[in-house]
Amino acid sequence: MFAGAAREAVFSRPEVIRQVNAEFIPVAVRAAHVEGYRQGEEGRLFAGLRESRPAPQGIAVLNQAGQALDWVLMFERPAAIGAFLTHARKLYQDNPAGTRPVSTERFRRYPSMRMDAILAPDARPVPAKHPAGETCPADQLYPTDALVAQVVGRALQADGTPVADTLRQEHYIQDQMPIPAALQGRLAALLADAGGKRVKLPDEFARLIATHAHLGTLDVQILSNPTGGTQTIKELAFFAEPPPAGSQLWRLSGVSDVAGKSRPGHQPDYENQVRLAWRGYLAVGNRRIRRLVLLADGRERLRWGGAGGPASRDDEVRFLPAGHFIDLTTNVRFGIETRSAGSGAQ
Amino acid sequence: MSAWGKSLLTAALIGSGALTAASAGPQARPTAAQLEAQIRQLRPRKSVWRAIPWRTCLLDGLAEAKAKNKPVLLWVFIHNPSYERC
Repeated sequence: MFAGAAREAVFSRPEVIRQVNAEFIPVAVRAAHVEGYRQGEEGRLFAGLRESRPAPQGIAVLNQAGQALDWVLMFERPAAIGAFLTHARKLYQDNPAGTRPVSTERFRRYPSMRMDAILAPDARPVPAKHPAGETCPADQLYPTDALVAQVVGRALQADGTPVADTLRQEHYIQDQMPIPAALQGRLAALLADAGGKRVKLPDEFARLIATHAHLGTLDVQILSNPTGGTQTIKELAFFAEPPPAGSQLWRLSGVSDVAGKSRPGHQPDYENQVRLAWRGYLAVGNRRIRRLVLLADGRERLRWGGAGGPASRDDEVRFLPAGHFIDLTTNVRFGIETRSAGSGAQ
Repeated sequence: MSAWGKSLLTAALIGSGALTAASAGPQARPTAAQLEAQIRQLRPRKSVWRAIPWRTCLLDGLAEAKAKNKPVLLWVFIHNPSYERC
């Protein structure tokens, strides 16, 4: 929940956006890479960050040598965000290249909850780019032969138009869905052998779709929830009808009706139910998906958290790992489409 | 089917236009291009998620920090903050 809450409560504030864009070089790296990537110079820098980070996720300010000057997980109030950035920038200006030893400041909550400082590893020259033949871990997110589909979802108002808010993930989601090459191959083979008849698509394909088609954060993911919990598949099936003459587009239809809830005693607790009716098109060739477009309408019931969370929007910066309370039942619409590799995720 | 399930299915069918499409026959089925256009309509023209241009390579970021004499603001995140669920 930390990442989603930080995006909503910290990095969507106009004054923070202005300050970050004017005074900093913003870099986002994956927690899994800081945790486990050990190759090359980036691996060395991640190792240094691992020594001082207060938690697997967090916000830090680094000098030019990649030494952490400051870490923070939460803020006492919204104004403390700017105060932290200003404070950390002064630390940078005092020792921009790490020519003197760096003692990394750490705050569980800025400025009231300070943790012990940790001496950062000595500064070493940092190459300006990855050497030839080395791939940046940021470019290794998915297998190179996977097709990455783009997912978008919106909560709908009573009149069927999307809820205007696109900040909160319970109202708007955007995601990426990698489709493994092996699954693409199975789909292509299935359609090739269909003999011009309607066929049921592999359960793995249906499950992949249902895993990504929900509102809310990763923590309320119904299937394969990272926090565990129970999952119920009430109905989950996709079918393909042969293309009409002159077309290569198989017509898709399907229903996904899945529900999940947190395991007993897990806090914050959640429940999420999504039922969707899908239609779309699929083209395959040479054992790969060439085009996939799916649109679904349906209804979602989503609840997250309870007592003890932030009391107001401004209070959310004090509780970033917990997120904010959600309790909604809404009509929803989701879209999934493939784009060519390297076209970005817009 | 439960009352919840019936209400969901009804909402899904009405929202999708499937009831209309079914009664009007197969000619009413949206084309792939029409579905893609509907998906585009779900995407906001301007998203506050993308107001900060997060770089994703730490080495690139540090090189830029040195060239511009600015500190790096590092966000240790789950996915890509500009485009992905988190």
